[in-house]
Amino acid sequence: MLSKQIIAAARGRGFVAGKNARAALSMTRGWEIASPYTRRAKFHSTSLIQAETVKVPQMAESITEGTLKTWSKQVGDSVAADEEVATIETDKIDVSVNAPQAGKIVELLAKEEDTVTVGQDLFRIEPGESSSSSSDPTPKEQKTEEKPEELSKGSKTKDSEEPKDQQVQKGAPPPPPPAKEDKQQMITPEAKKDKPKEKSGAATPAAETPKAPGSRNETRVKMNRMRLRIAERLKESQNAAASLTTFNEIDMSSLISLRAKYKDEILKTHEIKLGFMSAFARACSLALREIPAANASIEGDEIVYRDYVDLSVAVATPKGLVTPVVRNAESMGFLDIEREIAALGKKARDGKLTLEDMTGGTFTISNGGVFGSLYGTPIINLPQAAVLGMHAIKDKPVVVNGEIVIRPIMVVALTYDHRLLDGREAVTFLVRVKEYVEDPRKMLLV
Amino acid sequence: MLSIRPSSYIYSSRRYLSTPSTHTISPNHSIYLSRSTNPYFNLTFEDWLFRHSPTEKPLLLIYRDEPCVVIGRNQNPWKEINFLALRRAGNPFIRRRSGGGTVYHDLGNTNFSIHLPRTSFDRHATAQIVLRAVRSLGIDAHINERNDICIGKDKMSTIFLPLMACCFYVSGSAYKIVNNRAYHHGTMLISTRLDALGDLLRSNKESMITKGVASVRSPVCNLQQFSPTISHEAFSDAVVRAFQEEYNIDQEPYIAQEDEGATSIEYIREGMAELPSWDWAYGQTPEFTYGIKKSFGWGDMTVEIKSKHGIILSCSFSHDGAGSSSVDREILELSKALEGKRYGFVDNAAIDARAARGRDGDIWEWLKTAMES
Repeated sequence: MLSKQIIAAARGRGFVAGKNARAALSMTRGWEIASPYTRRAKFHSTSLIQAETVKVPQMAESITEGTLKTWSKQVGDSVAADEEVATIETDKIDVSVNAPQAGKIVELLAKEEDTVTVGQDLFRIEPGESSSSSSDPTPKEQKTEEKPEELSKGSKTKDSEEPKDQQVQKGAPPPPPPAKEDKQQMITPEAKKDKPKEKSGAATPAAETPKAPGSRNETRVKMNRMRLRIAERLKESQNAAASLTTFNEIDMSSLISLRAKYKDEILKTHEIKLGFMSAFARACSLALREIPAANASIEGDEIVYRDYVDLSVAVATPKGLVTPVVRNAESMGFLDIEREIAALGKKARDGKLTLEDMTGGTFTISNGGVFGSLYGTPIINLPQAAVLGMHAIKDKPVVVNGEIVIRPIMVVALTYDHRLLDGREAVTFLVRVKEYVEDPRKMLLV
Repeated sequence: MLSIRPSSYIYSSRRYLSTPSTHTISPNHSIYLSRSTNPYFNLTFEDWLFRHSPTEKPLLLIYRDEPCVVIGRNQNPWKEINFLALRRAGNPFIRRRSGGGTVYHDLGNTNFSIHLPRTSFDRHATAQIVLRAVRSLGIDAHINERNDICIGKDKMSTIFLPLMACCFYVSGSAYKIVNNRAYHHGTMLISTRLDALGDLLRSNKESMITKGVASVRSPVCNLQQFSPTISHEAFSDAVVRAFQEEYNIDQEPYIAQEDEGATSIEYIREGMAELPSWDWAYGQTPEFTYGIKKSFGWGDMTVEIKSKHGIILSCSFSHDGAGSSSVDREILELSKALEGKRYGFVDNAAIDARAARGRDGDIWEWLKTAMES
């Protein structure tokens, strides 16, 4: 549905003078006011139609991606509502992606043989077909005036949920996204139907964009297996561990200057991108040496201490959060850690992580900072004892040697299991990490 | 344990529905048993039911086909099928509309197709229906993580089946989702000719690299090896019962025939014509390259043929022969002549007559044979 302002603007009137008053009046008195304009506005409306983006649909339980196998239609082709546009194959399922409404394909957003994920944008369609025999995709550019009754017969689909009086597209909430009716008819041409049947105060139903005020559509999506498992483990963690979080701030200026100084050289010589994760990983390994309880786990009624550190690094993949493990991180230097993390990250994004890659960590580092978080309380990855959460680096005024200076500050959070760690140990651990990161040279002295 | 009685008894204990052949068949029943063994009819009938039956109602179709090979929608027939064996056997191959891999059909395997609304489609649940049917016939089968039904290689059953080295599959499945409907269909091996299956599906083109969906080859066996009295009728009955129980349906199965009541429907007629057409059967093949070598008297020749949607995109030759430039010229012409032709369907007339003679003639013969194998 085009908003009245747009219609009025298209008509070039009613907007310059007394714009607010007129618009306000339109809003309150609905189509009564707007209708003289709308009846003529239909000739201008084609240029204001937005193309709709169609996404990869849900395929089957626990399936999150597939291979786009064929485009049955190409750019410029006209399609009828529900006609097949592409097929995706995944795990023995052939999934047909159909046009949500009649129109013309304007853009294909993936290539044949690409791996596509559920929810990814797949193609764009410009609604434009107005023939009443909707199964016949004749490429008519301009919609013709049609009687609303024809329309209701014209939508040959079996989806008869939409009430028939939606033909009179006046302020009534527009149909949910896969609208079977022709959207062009929103500007009701029939004078006799121009009764202000305003049901809701929604005077500007935007029918072109499917999300309109007043739409009460629900979509039920079954949780995929990964999400179910994540949910299970998170609850388990919350129930089993006595979790507390302690915070601290780290002055990142020293680390930032180290990185700035050496990253190009390292990239050239070793082809590794130097990030902050390696510094934190190393700092944590050293601190864990001092506070071994943070590297331990409870098994039954025993505490298991380890002399190695297997670091779980949280990586966000399209499928969800995974935590691949960097083994024996305590004996790795910055470069080795970065290399390993990059390799695991790539495996994760390619979906090639195995179960062994993901189990058995002794400590977790999670970086919420890439998304911009300031503070946060990470959740413990059972059966570990603690998890370090890194957050965004922000320039803040701090006091150094009695003076106020601007420094890049990162808040770090340590959520720990009180059954294993006391407050003193947890805080000491975090303080050690802070000291190592604030002055990386200290890491050489230990 | 089901008491052993001839299958005809089971048959007559059931009422079936059918309409006189002059009336158009209706898509509104819940259970269909097809009496036709024409794979083109059965697949098209299944598709017609899929697209025309009420969206919310579960539907079951059971059918058997004459011997044929059925490949998945996005597969490469040349990769999957041994065409020499197929021609010898005189069987057709058909590309079905659902995804997945290649299967062999004959009257010894029974195909089932369960249609459901997309929102309640659950592969595990539908596999369970078939599993219950098999179990009700006294066979200890189970489902693996991929929702395939197999027998053997369970930690428990190794005690009872000490000769079973691994899990033998008795069924293969594939699925399709369109709009608001989805189906799970599959085949159950009851008394299939496993030797024919092996022959026709034996891959003989390792060097064909394809973007098509690959089949996962698994060892198979027949249900009759575990229970000699199992038959198509017994299995059909068991599936119908399990389906009726699962979805609380008490409708009796409807018998469908390949008669006027069905073929009068345009959708079915058109579908049956589409399936064997080149455009569908071969033209849906994703891109592939096939590299082959042969030693001729005058040297070794290597060819790489690239094809997409069944059309030859390019054909590049290389050889190590003490070459005369005439060979090079001729293979250049050959590769130009082949570009744009249908892979596997190039006849001699399409190739310059000159190419059919001389050295080039050997090359062309070899290529032609390779493409048609």
